[in-house]
Amino acid sequence: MKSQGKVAALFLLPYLLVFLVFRFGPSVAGLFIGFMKWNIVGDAQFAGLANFKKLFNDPIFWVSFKNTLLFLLLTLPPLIVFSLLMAVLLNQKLRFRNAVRTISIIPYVLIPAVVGIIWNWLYDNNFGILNYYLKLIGLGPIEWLTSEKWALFSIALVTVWSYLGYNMILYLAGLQDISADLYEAAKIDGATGAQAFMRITLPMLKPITSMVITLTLVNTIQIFDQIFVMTNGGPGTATLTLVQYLYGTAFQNYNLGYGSVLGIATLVILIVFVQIQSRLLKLDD
Amino acid sequence: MRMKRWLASFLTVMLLALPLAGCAADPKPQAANSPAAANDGGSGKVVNIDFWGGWTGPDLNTMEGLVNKFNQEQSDIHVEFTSLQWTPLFTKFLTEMKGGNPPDVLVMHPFELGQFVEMGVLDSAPIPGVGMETGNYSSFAWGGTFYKGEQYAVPLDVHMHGLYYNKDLYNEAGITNPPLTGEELIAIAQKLTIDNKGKRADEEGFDENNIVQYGLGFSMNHHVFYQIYALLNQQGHNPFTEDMTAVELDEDKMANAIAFLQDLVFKYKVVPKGEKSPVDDFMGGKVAMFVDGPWQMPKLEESNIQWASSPYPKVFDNSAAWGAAEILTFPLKKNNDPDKAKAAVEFVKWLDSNSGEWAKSGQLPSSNVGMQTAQSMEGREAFINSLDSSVLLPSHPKAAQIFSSTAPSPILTAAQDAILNNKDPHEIAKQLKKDMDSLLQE
Repeated sequence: MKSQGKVAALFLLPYLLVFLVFRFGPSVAGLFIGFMKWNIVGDAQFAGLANFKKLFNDPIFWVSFKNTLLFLLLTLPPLIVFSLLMAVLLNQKLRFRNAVRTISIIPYVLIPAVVGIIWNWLYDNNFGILNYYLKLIGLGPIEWLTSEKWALFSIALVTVWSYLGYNMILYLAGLQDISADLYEAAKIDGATGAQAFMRITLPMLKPITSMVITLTLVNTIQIFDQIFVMTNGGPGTATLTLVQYLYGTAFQNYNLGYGSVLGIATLVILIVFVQIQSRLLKLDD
Repeated sequence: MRMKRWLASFLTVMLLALPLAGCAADPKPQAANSPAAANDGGSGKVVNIDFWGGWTGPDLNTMEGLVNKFNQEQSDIHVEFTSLQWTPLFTKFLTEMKGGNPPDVLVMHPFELGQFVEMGVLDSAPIPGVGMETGNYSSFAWGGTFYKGEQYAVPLDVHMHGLYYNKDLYNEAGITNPPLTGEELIAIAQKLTIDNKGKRADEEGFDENNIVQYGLGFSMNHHVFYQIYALLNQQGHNPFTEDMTAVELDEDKMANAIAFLQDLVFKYKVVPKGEKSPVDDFMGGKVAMFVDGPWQMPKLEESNIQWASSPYPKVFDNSAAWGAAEILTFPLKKNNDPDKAKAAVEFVKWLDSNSGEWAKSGQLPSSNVGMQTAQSMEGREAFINSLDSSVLLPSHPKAAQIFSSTAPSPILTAAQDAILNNKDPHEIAKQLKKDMDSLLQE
C-alpha cells in the first residue's frame, strides 16, 4: 500500500513541480505584490493597503465585477442545463450519434481567437449573416457587439456555444457510469422516465455536476480571450470583465501592485463561488 | 471541517485558475534567422544582437526580409529578430529589462517614448553614433524621436489617416475627384450610399433600412478618437502636450469634431453603424471609401479592387490628419558590451539607409531617401502629401493609459459614446476631460 502511494506521488511530481513554480509561486508572489507600488522595472515600494483601498473606491472595478457576475449568470445555467440535456439525448441509441458527439465538441477545440473572428463576422451589424436572417423575418438588425445593451449577451452566447460540447462530454461520461440495473429496477417498480431522471440520473450525476459547475465557474469568471478578440472590453466598459481589467492594469499600464490586487479579488470571488456550489450540492453527503 | 472545505476550494481554484501574477497573453514570438544559417565564412567573431518589434501583419514579412538581407550581406553581426503584438512585446521588454537582458534595438511609437524614458529604460547615448542629420528626415518623423528636448530614437517610418476610394464605384456614380472638404465628403458619400432598390442616399425614397452599399467606412474603435484629434487640430486646437497635468480642452471645438462624425453615421446614414473591419467591407464592395492608414495598402494591392487614395479631408479651417510613427530605440544595458552596442548602431544605420525597402510594408519611410522610393509606389502619394499636416499624439509619461486603445480607456469611451451611442457631444467632451484629468492626477 505504501509503495502504491510512492508510485502515485512519483506520477504526480512532474505536474506538482510545474504547478508550484508557475502557478502557486507566482500567485503567492502576487499576494505580496498587492502591497507594493511596482512598474516591473524599478524597485517595488511598499504601499501598505493603498492598492486594496483603491479597489473599493474604484468605480471601474465595480463595473468589471458587475459585468463578470452578469456574464456568469448568462453562461452558467445554459452551460449546465443544455449540456446535460444534450448528454442525455446523445446517450440514447440514435442514428449518427457518434457524428453528432464529435461535431458537438468542435467549438471547444477551436482556439478562442478563431472563435472570436468567426463570430465577429456572424455578428456584423450591417453585413453579418445573423442580421441578414433576422431582417428576412422582419426583425433586427441587432447591434450584437456594438451596443452596450447587447455586447455582453452576445459574447455569453459565443461562450455557451464554445463550452457546451465539452460539458456535454463530461456528462456523457457520467451517464455511462450509471448502472443500467438501476433504471431496470425503477422500471419494474413502475417509475416513469421523468421520475427515473429525477431520482436516479440527477443524484448519480452530482459529482459530475459539481465538477462541471466548478470548471464553468473558473472558465467564465476568468473569461478573457474572446472578449479581447471581439470587443476589447467595449463598447465603453460594457464587456470589461475582471481579468480584462487586470490585464490592462498590470500589463498595459504596468501597475503590478493594483493588478495583483485585482487578481486576488478574482481569486476570492472564485473561491466563494466554488464554496457556494459545493454547499448547495452538499457533496459531503 | 469548515477550514478543510475552504482549503479544498482554494486549492481547486488555484489548480484551475490562471496565476495571479502571470496571466498576460503571451503569443508565440516570431523569431527568425538562426546564426548558423546566416553566417558562414565571416571574419570569425560574430556579434549577436536582438531586435524586437511589434509587427504581426504583412509588414512582419517585409521586416523579416530586411533582417535576413542584413544578415546575409555581412558576417560580423547577426540580428535575431523577434516580433509579437505590441502590448505583450512591451511587457516582455520590461521583464527582460528587469532580468538584465533587454533587446539591443526596440521599436516603439513616439507616444510611448515618454513613458519608457521616465522609467529609465532607454539610452540616448548611442544616438549620435547613428550620424543622423535633421534635413534628411521629414520634420514630422524627426519630432517623434525627442522627449523633453532630448533625442532617444531613430525614425523608421510614419503613417497617418487617409481616404481610400473604389475607382470603379466612383466611375459608376460619375464622381471624378475624391473629396477635399467635409461638405464634399458628405455629398460624395451620399452619392455612393445605395439601398436595395438602387436609390442613392441623396435621392427621394431612399430606404435607410435596406442599404446594400455605404459611401464611407471607418473603424469604430480608438481610431474614431484619432479622427476627433485630427478635427480638433483642423480647428487650430491641440489640447494634449507631453507635460500636461490636466487637459485644457475646448469643449465646443471637441463637440464640433464629434458632431461631424456623428452626422455621417446618424444623420446622413452614409457610414455603417458599428462597422468592424472597413478594409474588408471595402474589398467586398460594401463600402466605397474608407478612412484608414497606409498599412492597408499591401492588402489592397493583393485584391482585385481598383483603388486610389487621397488625403484626409479638410473639414474645418486647417488641413490636419492623425499621424503616428515607428521609431528605433536603444534599451539601456546595465552590463554594456561595447561590441553589441556598436553592432546595434551599425544595424540601425543599415536599416535607416535601406528604409526604401520598408515602404513595401505600406509604412512610409521616415528618411527622405526612403520616402522617394515610397513616392514611386501606387497609392502612397496621398499619404506623403499629408505628411506636413499630420499631427502626433504627445509622448506623455502616462500616454499608454490616457490614449490606450482598450477599455477602460478615456479615448475609447469617448469614441464609442460618439459613434455607437450617439451621446451629446458636449457631454462626451466633459467626460473625456474628467477621465483624462483623473488619470493625470493619479
